[in-house]
Amino acid sequence: MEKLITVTVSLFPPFSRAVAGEEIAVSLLEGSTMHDLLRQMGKNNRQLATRLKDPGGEEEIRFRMLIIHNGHLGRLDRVLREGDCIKLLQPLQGG
Amino acid sequence: MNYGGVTMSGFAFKLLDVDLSAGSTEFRTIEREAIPRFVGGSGLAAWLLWKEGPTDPDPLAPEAHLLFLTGPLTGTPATSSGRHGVAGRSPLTGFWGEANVGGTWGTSLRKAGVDGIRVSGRAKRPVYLWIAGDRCEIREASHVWGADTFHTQTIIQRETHPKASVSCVGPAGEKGVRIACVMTDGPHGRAAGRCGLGAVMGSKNLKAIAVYGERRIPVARRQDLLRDIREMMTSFRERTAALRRAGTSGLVLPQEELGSFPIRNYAQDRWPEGARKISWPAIEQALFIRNYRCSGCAIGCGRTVGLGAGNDPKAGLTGGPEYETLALLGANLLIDDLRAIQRMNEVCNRLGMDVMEAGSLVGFAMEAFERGLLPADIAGGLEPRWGDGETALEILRQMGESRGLGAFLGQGYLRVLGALHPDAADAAMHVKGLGLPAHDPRAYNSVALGYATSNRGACHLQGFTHVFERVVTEPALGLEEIGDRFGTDKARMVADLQDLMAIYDSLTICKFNLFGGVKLPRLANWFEMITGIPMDPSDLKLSGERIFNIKRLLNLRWGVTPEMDNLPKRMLTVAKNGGPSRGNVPPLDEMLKDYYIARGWDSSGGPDAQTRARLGL
Repeated sequence: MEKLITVTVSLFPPFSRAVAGEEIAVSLLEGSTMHDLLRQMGKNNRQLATRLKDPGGEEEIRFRMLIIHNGHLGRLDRVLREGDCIKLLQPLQGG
Repeated sequence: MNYGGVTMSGFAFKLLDVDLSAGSTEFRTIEREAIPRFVGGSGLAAWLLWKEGPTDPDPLAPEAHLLFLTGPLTGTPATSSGRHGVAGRSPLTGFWGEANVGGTWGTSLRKAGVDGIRVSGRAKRPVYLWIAGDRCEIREASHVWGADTFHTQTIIQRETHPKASVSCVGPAGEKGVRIACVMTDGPHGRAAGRCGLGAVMGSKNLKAIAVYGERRIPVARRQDLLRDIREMMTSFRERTAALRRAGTSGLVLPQEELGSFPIRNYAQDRWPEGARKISWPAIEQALFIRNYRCSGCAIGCGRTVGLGAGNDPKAGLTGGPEYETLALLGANLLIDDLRAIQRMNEVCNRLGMDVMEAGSLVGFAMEAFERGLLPADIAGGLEPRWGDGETALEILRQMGESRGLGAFLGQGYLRVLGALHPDAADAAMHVKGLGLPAHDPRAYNSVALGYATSNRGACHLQGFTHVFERVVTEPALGLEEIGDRFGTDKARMVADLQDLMAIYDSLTICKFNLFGGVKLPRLANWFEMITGIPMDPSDLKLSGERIFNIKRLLNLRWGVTPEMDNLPKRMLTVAKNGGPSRGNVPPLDEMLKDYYIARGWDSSGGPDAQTRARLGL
């Protein structure tokens, strides 16, 4: 039987309707990547799903969302581990 | 200079020289040879100051020069090119001063057939300039002296042309407040904000410059330019979608989350609850009315907001707070009331003051008061405390009207610190007299090095390095991947990006083009399509380096020393305890040594003989 891990995801607008954001726990198969997590969550999150269409690689995705993974900029190909904290925000643009 | 038989386009090659002491105006020809070397905008301004400016002027004396310059891209179909620069010696720092601004004014000036204006002297009475076509009039302005920047535009448009673009100073500039800015486009609140250049304009008794024109801006290969822009537009608009909606206010939450937010005068690590109250989604709910775009902009990151008046929520619409405003007049002061921040923003815009410098100085005052370092006779009965929006607003009013504690603070850090106990220096967040922007240098080592070496003092836009450590790449400069923000090998990157940003400020095009995917080779192509002059990306990069260095040479002339390439003590000795930037203090000395080598600078702090020869300086 494949092992599951649980990560914590904080969603901020536009990925959450709550201005103050919301935090959820997500379970997924061990060995899953950030991209796997986002695809799984995109099934119930239209804003996320829209931004994941034809992601076009790491550079393109950065223009669509900001992924913070344990305090650092996240990458789609990064393998997740038990207890990881992920935050999804609108992309960093402007100065 | 041989351009392969090509006639240079892209400019009218006209600089309007205005001597307000003599009451004279004269159109001069801009030397074509200067364009490939200094491009336009702030590069051309620096070259004109170096070549023809007074050697050591008091920035507020009649002899000082104040320049308003557009660049070859201004007002052309090139994306987001409705910008212009204001430059001179800063009365705030005593060093190179420049401020770049959007709106409509730069495009209008180009449509009037003029590329730039150089102002010297001092009028006997308040005046404004009215430029339309080939005509320039110096007009009486006593009746608008004292008016705020919004009313000034209304009155001057009534007297000139209903569609005239108006750049002006408010009461702060008139009174010589050293953090005064030059505002444009009235209630839209576009600001040539930094370095106190509004005080220079006010010192000349020059209230405003109104311009209007209908000429076509010359472009050598217009169809090629239009085709190139069409080809990139789908991707450009997709990439800038977030910026188009939320503008820079969308940065609040991410900056707080990444530990780059200035909280309580850079002394507090986290403020998530406050950040949520002043971030974009909250602005959308509380203040937002509609988006605003500068002339010819494909993004439109501005936001028009309303505080409401009576029963009309759309009454009194004005420019909304940018990220820097929300951070420095909000988080920096622990003020989480959006309406209070917008009131402060509007007061700064109306009175004509740099919101960034104002927020930085009020934060300093709050910390100095808390630590007992603000004497009662200077505070004048005010008690600036964290989170107190009403007192902060009163200080800003005092600044703009040059009275009380506000007048004291409005002199800027260098003069304020000279009047206080030496311990107050620990609370002063500035470099070379210019307050720190709202990007904590402990969160990006490249920003730390950029602040220390920027020609106008602590500035995030003259290197803009942090965006290359979170979202943007530039393969032409070897930046093919997002850099590690806590890495220490930053010298080459910072120098290269400072050169690139010098190009942006000289082409006079918005740096937010970076987010749309515009890179150095495309900028060189656009320069070539507009001017008709062949331009290789590496040659354009070299021009950027030349421009950065000529500004440094001006600074050396005006007294900059290598010891001034520094950061506030707090940034170098106190690491954050919480958040994703915890534990990092930038290794500035080590990075500076590498930077001087990368720049080809010697121990004098300027380019060595070999570098000067290479750059033709």
